[in-house]
Amino acid sequence: MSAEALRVVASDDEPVQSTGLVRREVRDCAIDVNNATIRYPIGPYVRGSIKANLMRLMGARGEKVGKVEYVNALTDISFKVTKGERVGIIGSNGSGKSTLLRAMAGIYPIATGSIALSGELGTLLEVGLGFEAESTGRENIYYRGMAMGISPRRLREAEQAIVDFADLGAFIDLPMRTYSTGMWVRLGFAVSTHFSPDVLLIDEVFGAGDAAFAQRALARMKEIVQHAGIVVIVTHDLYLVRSLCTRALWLDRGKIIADGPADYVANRYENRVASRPEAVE
Amino acid sequence: MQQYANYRNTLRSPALLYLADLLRYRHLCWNLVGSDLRSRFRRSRLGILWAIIQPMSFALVLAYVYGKIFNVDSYWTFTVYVFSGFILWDFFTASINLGVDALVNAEGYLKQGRIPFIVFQLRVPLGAMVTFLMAEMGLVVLMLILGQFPPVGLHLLLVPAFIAAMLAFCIPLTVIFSILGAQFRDIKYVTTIALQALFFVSPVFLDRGFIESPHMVVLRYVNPFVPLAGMFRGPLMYGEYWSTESMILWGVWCAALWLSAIILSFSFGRKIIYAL
Repeated sequence: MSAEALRVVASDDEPVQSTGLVRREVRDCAIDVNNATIRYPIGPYVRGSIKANLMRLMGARGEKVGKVEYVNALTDISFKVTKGERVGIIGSNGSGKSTLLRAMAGIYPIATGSIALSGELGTLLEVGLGFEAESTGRENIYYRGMAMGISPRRLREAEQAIVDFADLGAFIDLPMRTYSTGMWVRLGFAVSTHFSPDVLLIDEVFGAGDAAFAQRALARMKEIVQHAGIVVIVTHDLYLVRSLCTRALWLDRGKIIADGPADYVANRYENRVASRPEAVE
Repeated sequence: MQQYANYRNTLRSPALLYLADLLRYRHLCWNLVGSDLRSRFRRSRLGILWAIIQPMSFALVLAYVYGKIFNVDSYWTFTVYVFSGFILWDFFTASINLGVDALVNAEGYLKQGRIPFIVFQLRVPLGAMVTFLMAEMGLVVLMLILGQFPPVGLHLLLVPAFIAAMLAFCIPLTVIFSILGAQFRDIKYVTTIALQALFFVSPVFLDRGFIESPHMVVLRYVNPFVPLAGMFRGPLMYGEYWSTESMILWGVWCAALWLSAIILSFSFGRKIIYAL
């Protein structure tokens, strides 16, 4: 799925064709982020140095022992999203957009505050990761589906439709280590988007295989976005924000600079980029 | 899919919520264990039989060499002893050696959704258990062929009970090493060296008479493999019940491991994700 393709999703007014998405009634859903702060460890914590810890145990002090340092990836973030909203999160690189999305998905723990989310959650983050390379594509459909919390029974029912959508031919029964990068993404996309969630969190846009597949992915994307109760998308594409989203959040250095109607926030962001291109990419 | 989530207690989910999570992802855990086994023996003609052949052939060779050195009475009795020691040692060391990478290797899953860490921590000892059960069957067959199987009795009930005892020991062990392994990448190298050293003071091939001699009393208390080996071999090979000493030592080790695993899990919480 390219940025351009997603734009089409946003702008196209044609009625949505079914792509085999498992639809069901969207239930009540909401996201409530309240004073959330994320402290991201940098330095030795991430590198994981035993030496630093042993030195500290023995009473060593100072920079040499590598004190654990933190940066505030998100500071005191509060907002609510209700059913029907399409929220775009914009901001420069390193502003905390993806971190916020992952915190909303419950992946990154927050240091203070709270994040509550109701409804079935679906994510489209790094869809090409999280596979067993030695297992076949067909087996991995199950692993990925189960990692999404879907029961084996529902997966058995969906298996053929997912195989058809990914369209990997005989490769589906070969170990995934024989796949090309594009094929990993195709299978990941096929499974991740098969079940329609209430709340959909999308990180950036991603390449999803060749032109033929991109067409199918586009149609699927259109369907899933239109069908979800809440969509939150992290992107650098302001056109996408203006056309797809009802609301936008502008993050800068882990803080919300603006929160409001998509057009208004996108314009403000654009003005800032124009006036201070060195500050915002 | 997630029905409802509240991340208010992100670092410290209530225990019940944690169990509910584990229940929801039980299929993933079990299927990943299957995937590991299939991957390990995929494309080999003998498949999972290698789980028996590998330790058995190793035991045959080692029993010959050490049998000469220790001047053992019966080569075959010693072979069965070494074989039983090896398969248990494999179970024990897999929980540590594979445990250190349990969370590191799960990065792809853990960064896509809120999956409980325990799914990937259980994957290791459960996989090692299946391999162990296969090898144990091989051991029983070898004992029957050699006519070394002890008289049937109630003590044989302790053979399946041992699997539970071993899991109770290995699960917290993997939890501990998976957290330490993700946090401190050097751990992997340290454990390799430590386990190599431990091997030579463990009753894998060291005669149990030697381990049980009075001057080895310290070794018996500090090496967790000693009570485990005693509890494994006793009922299966000698027709004995578990000794009180073994059970107490096992109990103390398990309590210490579970306590450490719980403290580590709670103190790091999901923050480990930042180290992946």
